[in-house]
Amino acid sequence: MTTTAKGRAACAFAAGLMLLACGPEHGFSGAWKQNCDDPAGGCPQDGVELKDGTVVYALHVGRYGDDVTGIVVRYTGNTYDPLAECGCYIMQGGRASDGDLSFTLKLVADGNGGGPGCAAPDDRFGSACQDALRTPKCDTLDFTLSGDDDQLTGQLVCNAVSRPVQFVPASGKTRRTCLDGASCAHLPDAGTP
Amino acid sequence: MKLGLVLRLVALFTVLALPALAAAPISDAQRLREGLAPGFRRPVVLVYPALDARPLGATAPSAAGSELFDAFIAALSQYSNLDVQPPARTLARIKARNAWAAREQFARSKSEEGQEDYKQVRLDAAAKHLFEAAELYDDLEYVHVDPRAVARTQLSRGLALREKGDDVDANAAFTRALQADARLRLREKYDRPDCIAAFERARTALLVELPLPEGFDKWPKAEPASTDTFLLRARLLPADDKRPERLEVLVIASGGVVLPDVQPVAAPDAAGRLAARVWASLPFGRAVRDKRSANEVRLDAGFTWFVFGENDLGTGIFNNVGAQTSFNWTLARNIGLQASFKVANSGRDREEDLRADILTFRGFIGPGYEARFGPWRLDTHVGIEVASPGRIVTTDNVYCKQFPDDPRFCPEGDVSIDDRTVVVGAGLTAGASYDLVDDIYLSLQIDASEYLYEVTDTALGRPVGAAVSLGYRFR
Repeated sequence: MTTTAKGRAACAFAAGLMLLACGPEHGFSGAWKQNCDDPAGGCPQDGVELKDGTVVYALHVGRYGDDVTGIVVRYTGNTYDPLAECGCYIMQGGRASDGDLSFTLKLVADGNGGGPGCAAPDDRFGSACQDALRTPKCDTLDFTLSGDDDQLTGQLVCNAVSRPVQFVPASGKTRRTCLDGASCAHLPDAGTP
Repeated sequence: MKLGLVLRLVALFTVLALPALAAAPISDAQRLREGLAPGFRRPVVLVYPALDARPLGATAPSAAGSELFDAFIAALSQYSNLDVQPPARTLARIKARNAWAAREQFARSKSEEGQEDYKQVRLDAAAKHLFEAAELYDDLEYVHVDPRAVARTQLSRGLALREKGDDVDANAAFTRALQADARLRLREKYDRPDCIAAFERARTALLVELPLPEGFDKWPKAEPASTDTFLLRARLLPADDKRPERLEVLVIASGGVVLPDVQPVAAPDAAGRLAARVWASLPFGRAVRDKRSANEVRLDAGFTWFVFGENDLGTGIFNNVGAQTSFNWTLARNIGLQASFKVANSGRDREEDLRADILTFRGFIGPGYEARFGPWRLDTHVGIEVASPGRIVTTDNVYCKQFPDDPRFCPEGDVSIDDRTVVVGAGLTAGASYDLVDDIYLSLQIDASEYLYEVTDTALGRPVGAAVSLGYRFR
């Protein structure tokens, strides 16, 4: 076999391997929570009154190639207790590449199908949460993150003000639902993307 | 009542008379007398040179032992159903193994290095290098090629170990040295007295027990396993108080020892009787049809992989992996018919626009050309493919992938569903197979098809793939 022929055979073999390697791209998929063990995690201090920036976020990411969507659940204070849940939003405009992940949350109805997530209609989360849902500090939250399957670090932008955040993988199943539409009826929009 | 009687008589006839009507079995001796058919496949008997253990004893060995071995080989060669390879050809076969010359050179260099270490009283290095050389010699079956070289290596190793104080391993090395060359002796005033004593103890122990040399009854790693090949190893054993000089023969198959037998050297017609026993222990062989003759059937089963070269779903390429079975029938020389069936399940494309696995069935039948080159067989077939790609569910709406059951995010029209259909087209295959052992072969095949008729429109077409299978040839 000549060198050229060997090269062609090697190329054909490599092409075959690459073809076999083509498959779903799942990187970043799964549940993430802010890294509250590290100051870089961007978690609020205990005892701080609820307002934007005094909450923590849990990401439930579904990646499909370059497209990303999923659910972001907001919790009051520095806890992921289900009773502290205060808002559930659909990721919009999500994109992912090898090491980057970005998406937007719409915190208010935009008249084009965008809107806030839903909290429970009753007052069990307290009026502060209900107020925060109804009158958010900004219309959209932009997440720009980078990292790998062990850690995501980046910025959270609200009204052109950014703060650093860091996420680490969380145990448990990836959540795929906010509350149903009926539960959101009290809010300006049902939360369709 | 009459019917019952008739049935009983029929049953009695079946039990008693039918076996008598069947052809009587023919003995191997009769088959040999009647002559062998052209192309008869003879069992190969690789005869190794006889190891002569007689010099272990005090008395000089007679010439009758070597003459008996030669007469035995000559008598065995008279059985025309056996392909008896004399010692010279067996050694040539051993030396023709892969990289044998280079490995022999390496083993010899290790042995020389070890013996130089021993001369320079570097005992640890000597023991290590001589052990490595002995291992290499074992792999090469060198005791049959140059027994004295093996004996020298083991003797030097034994002496080095003895001087190191490792008496147990030293004694084992002395034993192996004597098994390779029974004439070996240490010299007084030249070798250490304690070494001479240990060596002599090993020799007298050997004379009593006469154990088989290491690997003597084993199939060598370097020899491919075969049901048609047998090894014949022999030893000439010394006379003692109770037994005369004798020839010991082992017939070894790849699965183990077939026959151990011993004949006194001086027994009348010892060669003939030993040859008859060896012949009776071996399979007779079998008539083989011309490999290119008609009616050869090959059946194989294995794994298949393919992609659809034509894909109007809007998804990226996705793999399909599954199982396949193939039936090949040689109709005439170089002309064959192939029928195959594949069942495969799809993976997903990178974007996962494909939302459910696609279960695809593919059947192919067509004539083709076959050619055989030694153990290789190449073939190509053109024919008809009938396939049935399964239900196809796709979407490019990322929300339908993450929230498929929520109509707020995934409107009904955003998911496309095509039910299972049937397609017919033309197929082309090209394959190569290699005979692994006897009638078992490994096959690799590539295939491509073009769908020409679709019962209902499908977005998938032009499958291109490969299959790897293990098969059996029926002749």
